[in-house]
Amino acid sequence: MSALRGRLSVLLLILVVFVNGLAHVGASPIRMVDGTDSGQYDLFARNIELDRGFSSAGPPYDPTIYREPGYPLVVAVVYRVTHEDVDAVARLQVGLLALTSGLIALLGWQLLALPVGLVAGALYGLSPEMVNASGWVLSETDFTFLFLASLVLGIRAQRTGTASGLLVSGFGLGLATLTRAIAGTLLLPMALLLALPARRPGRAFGVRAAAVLIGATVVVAPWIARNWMATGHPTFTSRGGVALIKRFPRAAEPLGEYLPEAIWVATNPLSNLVVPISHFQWGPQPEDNRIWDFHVNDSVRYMNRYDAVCQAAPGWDECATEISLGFIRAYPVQSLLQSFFELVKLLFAPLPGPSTLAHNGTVWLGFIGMGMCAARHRLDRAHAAVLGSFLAYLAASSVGDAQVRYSEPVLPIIALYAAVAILDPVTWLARRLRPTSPARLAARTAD
Amino acid sequence: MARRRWGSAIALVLLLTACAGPPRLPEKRPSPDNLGDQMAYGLELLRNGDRDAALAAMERANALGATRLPPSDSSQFLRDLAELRLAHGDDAGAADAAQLGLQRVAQVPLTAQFRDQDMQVFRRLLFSLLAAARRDTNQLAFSARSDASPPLADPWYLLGWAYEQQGNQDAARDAYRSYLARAPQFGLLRLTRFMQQHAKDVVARA
Repeated sequence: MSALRGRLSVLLLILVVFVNGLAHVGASPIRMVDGTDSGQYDLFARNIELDRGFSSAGPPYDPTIYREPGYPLVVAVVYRVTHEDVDAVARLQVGLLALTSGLIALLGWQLLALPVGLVAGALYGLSPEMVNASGWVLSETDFTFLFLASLVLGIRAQRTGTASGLLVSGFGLGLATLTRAIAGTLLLPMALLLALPARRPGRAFGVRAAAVLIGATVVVAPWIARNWMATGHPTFTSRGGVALIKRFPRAAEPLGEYLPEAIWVATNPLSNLVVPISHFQWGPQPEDNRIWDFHVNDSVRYMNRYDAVCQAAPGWDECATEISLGFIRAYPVQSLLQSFFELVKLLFAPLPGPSTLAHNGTVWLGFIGMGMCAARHRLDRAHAAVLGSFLAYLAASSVGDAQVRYSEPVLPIIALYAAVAILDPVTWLARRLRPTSPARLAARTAD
Repeated sequence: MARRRWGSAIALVLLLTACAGPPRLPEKRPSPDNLGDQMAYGLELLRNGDRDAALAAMERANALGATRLPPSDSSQFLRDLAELRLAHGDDAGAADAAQLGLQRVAQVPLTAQFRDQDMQVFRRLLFSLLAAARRDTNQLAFSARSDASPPLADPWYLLGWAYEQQGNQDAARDAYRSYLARAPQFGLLRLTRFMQQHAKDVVARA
């Protein structure tokens, strides 16, 4: 396929994802999702729009460092331009979803083959889960775009050996960090992975890694300076303790307590055909369910248990972090092994349904595709950057309390390898079924 | 050219940081007749380490009817009040608050996110506060050595404190050591940071 036809097919994919997303978002009025951060993002954005500073409180609008500023700023700009039209936020995010699909296609084309990229982009951009998410006032769609754009730019710079390209990739990672702090934990591993020389010998390894880190620091530093000035703490966020305190008290519980539930969730919705979710119900309310205990309830219980202690401490976040570290010191092996359960919570959707089939099926296909690529020695250094970022993200996510929503930023990578798992058998089958030409038959006979 | 770039970078930093505005101090004048204000103020004073003033605010909240709040709020309030009264030497008042707290916590509805285990944790804390107010070291030792899950650090502290009040320094040190082995991860009382410091001081004196 020529490069021009390739580019046109990527553009067509972007268009299809955009139109599909717009149609869905137009038909679905839900923008604020109960039980999530939607309402708080909306409040931040409105306060910024009304020049009250970065605050989620009422008068006197005390400045906060609890949330990252990137997403509320984007929403505030949209509100300012559109007179607080929340649907405009959804439309913007549909655009970003479509561009993310295009980036996946380009990445797949660059690393494997154009059809792989196109199928991966479609798997991601047309999945009900991602289309729904793009209509909500939540940061995942924006973050995924920034994270993937940084990765694609970084891999391109890795191939050309240019430090300036890596600097731009670092800028992107800085913007991603301003949107979700977890990207900050990826800076060092990604800088090291992207600094590995690809094809052409370029600048020294240290210079390339530094370019990524400098780019990110330039973007992130003003926010840390603002926090220092506004609250006296030269820190990025005060939300680390929440994620830790929801996760580490479980280390004191029996390790295998939720093993059946974890296996059930990881194999859902097939598992639901064998053991229905009603089997795990223990009370009359919908949330009185062992699957929901595993996924949400216990984390909330742990946080509630320690909330009273930390409310009386000078810093809630430091207090929660200190208690969590207490658990890690007392139960180091359990704390580490519990990461398995956090990974299950991160990667697999818990409630049965068509959307879960699409999500969990893509995740399993992704792992199969990774295995297929490894078995056929198709993983070069560019793949190392992609898979290394993926693993670094999983590792960072498993340190805190995980939710399936947090897996969205790495779904493009999973979709990429899921496309391999879909297309390779199809290609193999097509070759087998293709009629053999007389010349090839003659050659085979001669052999 | 390089100077101009540096100048632009500094200007950008200043522009972005200027958006934050100056820090504002929180309003610290609670209405004397507002229950919510008094409770929040008591907590704020506790955060600032002023236990005596925190107790005064909590007593004011008590007079304003904090015990008539819904069970989940009033049981927490009564636990706080018992803790502060005990720390202040008001044993009878602490026992009253702990006893009323036990009644109120029994009325908290169980949900998926407040299970029987959470209620039992709450009850064990209130029982320990009650036993400490009565200097009942047998009951405290029983609570401290309970194999119920999760293990609690606070009964060990209260046992050490009761021994200390009785002049039994060796037993107090042993109990404080057991407390420190379990804190902060199993310390659930509001005064945890003061308790940890006190236990460390006593153990260090050995």
